[in-house]
Amino acid sequence: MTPLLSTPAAGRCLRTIGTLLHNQQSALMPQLWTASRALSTGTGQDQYDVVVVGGGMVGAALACALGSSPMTSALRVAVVDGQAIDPAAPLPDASEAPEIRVSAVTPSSVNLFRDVGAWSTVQSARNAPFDTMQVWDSAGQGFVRYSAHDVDASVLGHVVENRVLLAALHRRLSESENTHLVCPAKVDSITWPESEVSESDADVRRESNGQAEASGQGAGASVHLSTGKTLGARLVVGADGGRSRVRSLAGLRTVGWQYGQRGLVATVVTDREHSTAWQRFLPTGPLALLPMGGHYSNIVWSTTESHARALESMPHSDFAAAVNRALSEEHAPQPPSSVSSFLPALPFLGGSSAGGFQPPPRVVEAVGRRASFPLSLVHSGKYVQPRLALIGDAAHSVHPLAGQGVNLGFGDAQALAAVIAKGVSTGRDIGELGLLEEYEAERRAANLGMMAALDGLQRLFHAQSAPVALARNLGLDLVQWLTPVKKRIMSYAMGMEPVR
Amino acid sequence: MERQLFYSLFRVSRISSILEQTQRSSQSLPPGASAVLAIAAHAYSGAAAPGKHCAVSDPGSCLTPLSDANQRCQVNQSKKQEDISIPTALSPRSFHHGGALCFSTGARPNHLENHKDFKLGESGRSSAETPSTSGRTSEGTERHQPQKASSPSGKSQSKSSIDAGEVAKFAAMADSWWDYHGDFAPLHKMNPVRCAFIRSALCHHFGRDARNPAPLQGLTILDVGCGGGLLCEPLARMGATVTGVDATAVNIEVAKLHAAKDPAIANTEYEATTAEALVAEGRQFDAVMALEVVEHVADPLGFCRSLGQLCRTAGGVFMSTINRTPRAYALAIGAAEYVLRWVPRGTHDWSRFVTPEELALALDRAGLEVEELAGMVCNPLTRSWSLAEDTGVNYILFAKKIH
Ligand SMILES: Cc1cc2nc3c(=O)[nH]c(=O)nc-3n(C[C@H](O)[C@H](O)[C@H](O)COP(=O)(O)OP(=O)(O)OC[C@H]3O[C@@H](n4cnc5c(N)ncnc54)[C@H](O)[C@@H]3O)c2cc1C
Repeated sequence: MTPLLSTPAAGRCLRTIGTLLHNQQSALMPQLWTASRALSTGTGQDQYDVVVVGGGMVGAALACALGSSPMTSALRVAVVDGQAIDPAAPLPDASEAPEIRVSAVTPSSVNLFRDVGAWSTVQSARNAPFDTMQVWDSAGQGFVRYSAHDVDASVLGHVVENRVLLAALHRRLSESENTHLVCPAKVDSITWPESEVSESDADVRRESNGQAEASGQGAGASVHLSTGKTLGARLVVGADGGRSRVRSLAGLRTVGWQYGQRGLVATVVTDREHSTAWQRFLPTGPLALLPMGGHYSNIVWSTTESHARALESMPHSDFAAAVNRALSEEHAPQPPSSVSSFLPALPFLGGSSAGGFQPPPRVVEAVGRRASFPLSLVHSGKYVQPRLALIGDAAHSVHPLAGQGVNLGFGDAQALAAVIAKGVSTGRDIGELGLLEEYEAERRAANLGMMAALDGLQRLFHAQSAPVALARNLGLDLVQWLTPVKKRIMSYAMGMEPVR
Repeated sequence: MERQLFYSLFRVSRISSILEQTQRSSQSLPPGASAVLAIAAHAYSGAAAPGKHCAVSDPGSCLTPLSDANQRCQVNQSKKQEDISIPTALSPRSFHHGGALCFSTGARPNHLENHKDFKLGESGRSSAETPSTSGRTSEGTERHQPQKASSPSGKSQSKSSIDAGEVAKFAAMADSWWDYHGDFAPLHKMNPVRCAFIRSALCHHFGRDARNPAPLQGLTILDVGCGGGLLCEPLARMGATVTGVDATAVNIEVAKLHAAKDPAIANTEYEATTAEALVAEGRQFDAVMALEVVEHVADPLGFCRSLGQLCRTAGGVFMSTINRTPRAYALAIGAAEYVLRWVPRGTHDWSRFVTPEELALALDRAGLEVEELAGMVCNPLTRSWSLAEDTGVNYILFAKKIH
């Protein structure tokens, strides 16, 4: 029934049916713009409960989460994206070299994928679980080695190509009955309802003579698309990435800064298979080598602008050599492979099952294209407004230091879906500010914590003065040996509740 | 799981005679003296053992019906076993019950008939100003002569149980009903918790599937004292056919205008009338709501009777209000109105607050039996509300119609 009603022309004929359903109080349409009303407006505007602008990883995850919870699956959801989305597209061939855009997804993000039924698709494609993380410093002996065993988990995360994550979510999207893909279509403008804070006063004054408001927009927002179409929405979700158009159309301000650095991404082949996320802090910034399955690994190298440009354009062989130098040779000597020979035994601090320092694999060759992007920290002053919520990079973009960017976004999607479900269960208007503020309060705290941690780490590791480098070394050593502290840091990085 | 529920098995487990004296006298004390008493009340509630059968859960989540069922079983069991104590904030009045005040959903609370001190306002300001030894109403007499006692159920609105002064107070505030950050912000914050309780109790009572986003389809609900429609709208979204009535015409206008904006709830009916007038018309509903109303009503007993009469045989009544404890005074009036300014000054009059025991008695006399009772507590830091076993300040109950 609902797909038919989304086309205005068909809808007009269905007016009586809609009214009928309305009268029968169809159990299918709890909080929906009921057919009779949507059509009686005659504006030709398609009515939705939620319009998600941006079908990227985070927006798609939200739509999937809404579609798979019994409390929200009857909501009419539109996903708008400027690019064409083909849910039936085949998964990338695992024998090909992986894409350079990858994400390190945490166990809690994996749970979201499981909940929405998208994880099995990811598992059928290339994905690289990693059970160890090793972080070390180029300026001294400090290193941290985390193991999944330290937190009684089997893996610390999975490295997955963004296109695989996207494809898995898009497949699920197309399966939920009340979710509609509207693409390619860009958002041109949005009409927000009259300020809901003061609307009652205004209405009483304006309409005290008994003329109830007859405009078709009701209390909803209207999203005007580049295709000329207009979508009515109880709730508009801005999931349109770091340069969010929705955010600027809503007049929400951001705070943030550029790090004056670029992140370079590349795919490489290593001399051996591994299941460790390696990260070395260099004077210019951190370099990460992530397992991608088989002999493939992904490189995320944050460095100065000029260095990044140079790395991006140099020949494959030079690039491979540069990575090897940066990982293994340059700067200070490697930490000894067993710290117990270096530090006095401190049994009361607890040991680590991950063992001592391990040298990273050697890069044999670089494959495919390389790309770089500017590093910045951006945080929206507000995530919500009446009938608006921002999620993912639209609300915050972080330094990609710990691969947390998309995980924070998945956390937003999860939290917003839960708040909407809670709202439906208590009969609230899902676009009402009071409800959306619950989402904002929950996620702001979580995101700010992570952003501060990443920003702090970036600044700490960027400093090259001797005392800071010394403290950093000492800090890393202590973290390595203070197992409880380490566990807490790890659970944070894994997107879990701190382990006690 | 959506709420913490416990059935109407009240038991005053321990009575401290010293506290009894203090609290009895507190009824006529000026506000300034209440701080001391609040401390005393806290000391007492700290000593009382919490009801052990009351599981706490997330009020907002409705997605795990299995555990809901489990919890029900658990509570039902405990009901059979014996009782659930009200652990905190015993009201001044409850001390006059003397010893164990206990009745179960199965057995009629006959011994309450002998409770001599129970008296719900014959005049507008009865409770606090009437010494506890005077003005008693004989339960027995009143039960057998219900017509006399429920005199307000007349034809004209002038005989309404709503006090004229109270009506004026609310008309002045009507404009701000739907401002989430305005005068009614606390009500907006508390509303989802009330809705969660109502949803759960109705699903249980009428055998509805709590996983359904709109489980109240086909139920008719009357909201007495609907104000700007804060409760009507969510109930309509949950599928119910809702009628909201309010004695203040301005509120009804605000409610109508607001509901007209949202097609999903546009079929909600609003009428400027009173419960008593609807009784006279012979109207009946599956469920009748009177939330945060009884404390503004001049004749609570007559009001409860009207609610009972508006309720179908298999239906039930929901009521919520503020308990009459020193802590409620300190929080609801002292803190909320004067310090934090959550609600406009003058909204509440402490003497009109009603204890759960008193309300249960009044409902009992109106042919309604309390099935479920929960406290609603506000975290002062986050200002978020949740259902809890502490009924010492705000509480909500569901009573089913038995005759
Ligand atoms: C090079 C690079 C490497 C990264 N590496 C990692 C990593 O290793 N680990 C990690 O966790 N994170 C990483 N991140 C961050 C991560 O990619 C982002 O956090 C994540 O993509 C955010 O997802 P999103 O859905 O919020 O936004 P996006 O992925 O940016 O999606 C936005 C979507 O909105 C659409 N859109 C935009 N504007 C409009 C409009 N006006 N109308 C309609 N549609 C519109 C776009 O087409 C797009 O589909 C990296 C980021 C970059 C740039």
